[in-house]
Amino acid sequence: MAATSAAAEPASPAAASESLRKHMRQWFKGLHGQAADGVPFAIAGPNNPHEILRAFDIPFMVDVWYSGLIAARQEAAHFEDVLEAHGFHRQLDTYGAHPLAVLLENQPMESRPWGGFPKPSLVIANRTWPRSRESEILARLSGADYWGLDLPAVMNPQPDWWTMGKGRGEDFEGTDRVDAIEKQLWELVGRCEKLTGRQLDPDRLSEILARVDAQMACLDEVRELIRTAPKLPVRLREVMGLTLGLQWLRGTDFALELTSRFRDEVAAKVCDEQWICPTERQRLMYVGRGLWQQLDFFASFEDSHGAVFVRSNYLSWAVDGYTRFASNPMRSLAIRYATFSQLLHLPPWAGEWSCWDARKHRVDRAVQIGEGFGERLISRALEREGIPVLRLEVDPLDARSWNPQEVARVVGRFLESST
Amino acid sequence: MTVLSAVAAVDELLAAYDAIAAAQYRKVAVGQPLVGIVGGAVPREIVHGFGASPVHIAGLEDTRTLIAEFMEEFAPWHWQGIGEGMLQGSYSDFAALVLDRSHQHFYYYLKEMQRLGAGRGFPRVLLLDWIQASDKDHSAYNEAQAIAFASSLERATGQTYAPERTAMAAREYNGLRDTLRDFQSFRTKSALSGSVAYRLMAVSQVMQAARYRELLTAVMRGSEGAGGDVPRVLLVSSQSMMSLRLHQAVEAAGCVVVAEDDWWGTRCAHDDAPVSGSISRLCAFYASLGIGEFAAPMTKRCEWYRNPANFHDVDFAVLHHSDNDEHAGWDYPLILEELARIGIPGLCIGGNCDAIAGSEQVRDAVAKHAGRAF
Repeated sequence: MAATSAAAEPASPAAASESLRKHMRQWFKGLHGQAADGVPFAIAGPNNPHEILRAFDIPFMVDVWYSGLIAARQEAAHFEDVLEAHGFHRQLDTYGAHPLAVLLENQPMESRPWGGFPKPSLVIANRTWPRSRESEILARLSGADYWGLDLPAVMNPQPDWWTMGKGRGEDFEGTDRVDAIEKQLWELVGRCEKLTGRQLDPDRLSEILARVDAQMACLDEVRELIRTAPKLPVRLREVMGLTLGLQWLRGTDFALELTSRFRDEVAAKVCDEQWICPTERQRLMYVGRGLWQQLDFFASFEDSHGAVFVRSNYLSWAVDGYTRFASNPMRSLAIRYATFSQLLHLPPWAGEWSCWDARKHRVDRAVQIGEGFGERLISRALEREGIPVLRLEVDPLDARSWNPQEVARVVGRFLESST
Repeated sequence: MTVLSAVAAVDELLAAYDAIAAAQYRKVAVGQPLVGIVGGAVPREIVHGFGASPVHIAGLEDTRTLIAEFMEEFAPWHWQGIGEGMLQGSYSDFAALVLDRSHQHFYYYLKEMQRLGAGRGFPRVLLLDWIQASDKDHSAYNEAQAIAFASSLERATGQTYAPERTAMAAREYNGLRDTLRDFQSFRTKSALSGSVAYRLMAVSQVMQAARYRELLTAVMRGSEGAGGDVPRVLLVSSQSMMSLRLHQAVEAAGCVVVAEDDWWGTRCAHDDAPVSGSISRLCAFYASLGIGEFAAPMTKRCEWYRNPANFHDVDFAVLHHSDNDEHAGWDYPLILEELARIGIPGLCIGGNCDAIAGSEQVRDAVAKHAGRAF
């Protein structure tokens, strides 16, 4: 996702979100024109080194971002039907598969969500969990070059990764693993060089990484404000939407500027004691994937129960998961992606980190929606920490599984319970 | 000298299968450390190189109670079974449990259970992280892994590595594979049901090789009768077939399973392994087999389906997915395409065969398809 122009709107969290949406629409519209001019287009998984694509000025779309967009339009069920009609059964993990569904449905471009996307020249994805076989299929169907990242396993997993991840990533991840990933990243560079006819500019890559680090530092300040302010200054839906939306633009001036304005606005709210819920009594944590189909859920219990959602993975992951410092940019990227998604979801990393962050956010209770790999152990860790967890069996992306009255009743009862 | 009858041989092999189900693996280890193997990409020849006895672990434990505290219900069925066994102390006398790379996340779960002090008598849990990717050069990493793996096994077994022991085991297993390949051809024409044939093959992963060959040869030599005029099925599933329920559901539809894409079944009758005694060469060989949904790239997995020689007399394929399959089914349309190229039609079906309703769902779908096809 290439973006270079700065945002012009004043940034309250809501205005920043709107500014981001506008920017993305404009950027997305421009993709077809770029493709017509012969600019290669790429589709990337969420946990991949986008910075390399950006360093080559290859416009790219993140598959889960497009899936989220479709879910927000309440169209996820339709595209899951499309996948099923093409032989992909309904139990499959379709979190990042909606671009494939749109391609398979083959509607006229103007009828596709947000006007559709150009034919990709390159598809990059993970081949280790969360494995993205659908990306391989998408590449095959569209005739794109496919690059899959193989992640070496961690032999001696240490739970307290966030304490040493940033500065001592090489020690934490292990040199042989980092070497194996760096080698693959250089291979991706080779593919990009072939695609664009240009060589990698190491200074440009360094600048991009510096902007990423600065963006995450701003988000660190936002997290600290949320953790330490007497009450919640910004709704989780804004935090999630902005953090993730800007994540796909990381490394651009636009993303850095909007993030810093977002931070300033949150700081101003704390300074002015403008709280989301002045009667705040309970602080909640959300466990699960982005609830993009029902973002209003996070504000549903403010008036009735004085309950605010203060924490999901997205903001804290931006801070603890992305920032890595090493001897050179490629090494930093290799360290970042060595155990990337695993840290967020799997034992022993995710449970300990969630507990630590929940304590810092003064979380009273947690709501878990759906259940992905590792999430049972996250919930158990929270419960051991004395934080009750409510589990709701709902697909975060499929609106058909969401019954608002039932959800309100169950969550309300949970919030009223004494445990 | 008494000639072993086919009936007696089948009985002994099926009894050995039941022993797998009961996790009575100890019988195979005669005064040697016992090393459990999880997954099809760990060369058991290497375990012999350390003077230890390898046995493949199926995870057939009946109960799933303790594991529910740690693992989601949608986790692979055999993970839950092995995890339960670990928590109950069933593997406490193993020197080590070795997982292949496709079980990377299971490894993290087991390490976490160990870290939290759950269960009793956890053996050493090792991961052989040999990256299986035919389109990339991971040789430097893989070589380092082979060295680290050898060093871990040395610590676990208390014995140093002897390449000649591995070479000898490779030769012995190649002989066994030869017998298995014969048996795979034999089963397509025999009167054996698929669920029996599968069990007979599965036992090759846990039984002493010479005795196994003797028994299987007796089965082939002495079995009478040819298979009836029933549809012959190739079975593919997102989950381990070791519970036999999928075979039973398909065969309840009046078909016979003559091949499986499963390393306890047909896929164990693969080509011969190298006999050099080199750990790396063996690891590379096993990884190159491309068995299962973790084979990379996707086209690597499909290679097996391109070879008509693998599917003598197969009438159609059943591609089954469990209710918790998030990944394997992505490959199914391409597998169907490959099979169609060699003239084998396929049927994709879901259903949890662990439940009666799911088994009936599978049975009815297969029966309907078979009725249409024949």
